Order: sequence, then C-alpha cells, then structure tokens
Amino acid sequence: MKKVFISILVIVGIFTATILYAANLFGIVSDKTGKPVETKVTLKDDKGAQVGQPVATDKKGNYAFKDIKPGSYVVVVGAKDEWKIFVGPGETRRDFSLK
Amino acid sequence: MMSDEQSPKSEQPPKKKDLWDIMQALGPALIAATVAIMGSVYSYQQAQMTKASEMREVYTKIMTERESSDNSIRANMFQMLFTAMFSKDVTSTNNPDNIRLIKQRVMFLDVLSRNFDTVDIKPLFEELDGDLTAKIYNDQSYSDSLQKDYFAMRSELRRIGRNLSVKQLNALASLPGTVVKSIVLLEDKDKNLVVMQDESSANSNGDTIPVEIKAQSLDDGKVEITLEYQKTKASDQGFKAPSFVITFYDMPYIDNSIIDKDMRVGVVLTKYATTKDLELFRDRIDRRLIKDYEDLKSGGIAKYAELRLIKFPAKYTGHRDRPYLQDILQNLVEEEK
Repeated sequence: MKKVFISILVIVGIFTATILYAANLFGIVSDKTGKPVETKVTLKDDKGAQVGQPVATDKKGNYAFKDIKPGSYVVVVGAKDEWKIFVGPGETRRDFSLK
Repeated sequence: MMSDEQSPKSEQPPKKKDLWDIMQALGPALIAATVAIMGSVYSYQQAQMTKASEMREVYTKIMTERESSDNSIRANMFQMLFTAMFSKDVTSTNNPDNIRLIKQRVMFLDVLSRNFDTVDIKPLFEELDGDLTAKIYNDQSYSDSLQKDYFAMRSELRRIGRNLSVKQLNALASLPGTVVKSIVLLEDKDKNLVVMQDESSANSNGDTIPVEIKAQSLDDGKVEITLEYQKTKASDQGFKAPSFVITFYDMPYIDNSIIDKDMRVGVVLTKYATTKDLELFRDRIDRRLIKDYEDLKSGGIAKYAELRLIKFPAKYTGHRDRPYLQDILQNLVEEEK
C-alpha cells in the first residue's frame, strides 16, 4: 500500500512539474480596411531564426503561437510584412494590419 | 307652317354627353368623397400621432422611473459598501482577523469597481496596495507565511484593477477612430531601463498616436512615465512634459488627457512582473507564469511592464455608459432618417 501511495505521489509530482506553461502569443490579422485576412504568420527570434512552424490564420484572421519563450520577436505576416514585438509572460495579444 | 318647322327639331337625336358633362354630374359626389377620404386620412394620422406620443410618454416615464430606482439602489449600495469597508481597522497587527478583513476589503473593492466603474476609487485601491506592499517587503514583524498571504491578496487586488481597466480599454478600442498601441518596458539587473515601442497596432487604417512615452522608473507595480505630444514638442522645444505614475488602477474612462481639440489619450498598465518575486513567493505566483518568469530572469530582465496607450475621441468619455449611449443615439438618428 505504501509503495502504491509513493508511486502515485511520484507520478503526480512528475505530472505537475511538466505542466509549466510558457508564454502565448495570439491576435488578429486584418487588411487595410479592417477585414480579416487568411494568410501565413511566421515567428522569428531577434536573431532572425524561425521559431517553430508558421501558422495559418483562420477565416476570422485569428492566429496563435503557444508555449514560446518571453522575449523579442519579429512577426512576419504573408510574404513580406514584418513587425518587431516583445512577448511578455502569460498571454500576449498583438493584432496586425497589413501594410 | 310653325308646326312644320318645330317637328324636325323635336326629332333631333339627344346630344352625346362629353367628359365635362360627366364631371359636372359627378363633381359634387367626387368632392364629397375626396373630403371624406382626406378627413379619414387626417383622423387616422392624428390617431397614430396621438398613439405614438402616448407611447413616448409611457416609455419616457418607464425609463425615468427605472433610472430613478436604479440610482436609488446604487446610492444605497455605495453607502453600504463604504460604511462596511471603513468599519474596522485592518491595519492593526493585533487583530487576529487581519487577513480575513483584508480579504473583505479586497472583495468590497471588487464589488465597488464592478458596479461603479466610472467612480474614481483609485485612491482606495492604491492605499490598500501600498499598505500590503509595505507588509510584504518592508515590515519584518510578519511571518513568512503571513507575508505570502499578503502577497496573494495584493495579486488579487491588482487582478481586479487590471480587469476593470482592460474592460474599459476594450470598450473604447471597439469604437471608430480609436487607436491602441502596446509599449513594453524592461529593466535589467543593472537598473537600465529600455522602452520598446511595439510596431503592432489595433487600428487598421494606418492611424497613429502622435504621443511618445518616455519611462522614468519601474517600481513594484508603479510605472513613472512622461507623455510627449509631438506637436507641442515641435512648436515649443523648451517644453518639458511632467511625469506621472501609472498603476493597475488607472482607468481610461477617468484617467485620460485631452490632447488638441477632441482627442483623448489614456495609458493602462496591463502587465507587471519582477523576477524578485520568483525567489520570495514562488509558491504564490500563478503556476502558469513561473516558467515565463524564469525565462525573463535567464534573459537578464529584472522587471517587466506592459502599457497600452489608447487614443480615442473626446466625446466617448465623461459618462458612465457614454460609448454605448453614443451608439444608441447614432442608431436612433439612422432609423429616423
């Protein structure tokens, strides 16, 4: 019984230790008139290296990057539009309007 | 001879009636009918107008009574909350219910801010925040456990303030002619302060905010900044903008500045983090943020703050439901057209 109890404690401990959420970046991409845009959003770190895989916006223009490290990033929307941003702890919302 | 002349005349066929003859015959009847129709239409219109007027009167009466009743309830509630909040001295260290009373004050402020979001209760929030901050960091007479409880209370208080200010910010941001911009402030271990103007913007028509934020200091949930209006800066180079402090309790409906004719600018503190808290109160920090705090610390960042700068038309403030009222009036005008 004691062993089972300790095993459960260890499993719960490992489980809770792994649930350490990182920062999330999300927002809406729209065109110059404010209409949502379906496009590709790429995240690059401050050295220009791509972070994770590019994401596609949905019909409402929503995009999201989950579990990223807080810090400076460059967001590339579509082929050429770029914005420098800083992602803080927790949820960070940034909306982009195509240039 | 006479009878011969008269006889053919009397046999002439009757003259065919033309339109004029018909009109002459029907004229009186047509006039009577027209008068009757016009009278009916006029009566109907009068009846409709009277009905509409009565409806307006009833509606106005209901609205007035409802507003009066609402005001009465709110006044009673406001008085009750204030009386309850100041009824006991929560600063007494001998009081065993100290934490419970602080929790009550936090709850009162939550209720107060939810129901009276345009009443300036910032001093009440800031007084309690300052009191808790002193207990958390400066007063050695409290146990570690109690200090952690105070830290948790202050976090809750700041969450309430931030939720309210962000709610107001979102309400204003949804209105036409509004621009929102994010500004991130970072302080490293050597107390070097960096302002990062985010390039993203909530506005889609390329509109900008002609104001520059300069950070003076970051200190435990208080951000001292100056706002420089580019036009003033250009016309008066000797002008030095005064600095002021932004906390989680600055509400854009109330704490905003008029710039130029009809433009208002407000600043909202949406995030504040200090990696010092990671060491002192690790078990009381939101578990989802611990990894982020560690990442900030490993990146050499000691303090982090995020501000939202909002530019909105002056007409959208100064009244509790002004943004919604404006929309309602606009809809009424459009319907009337």
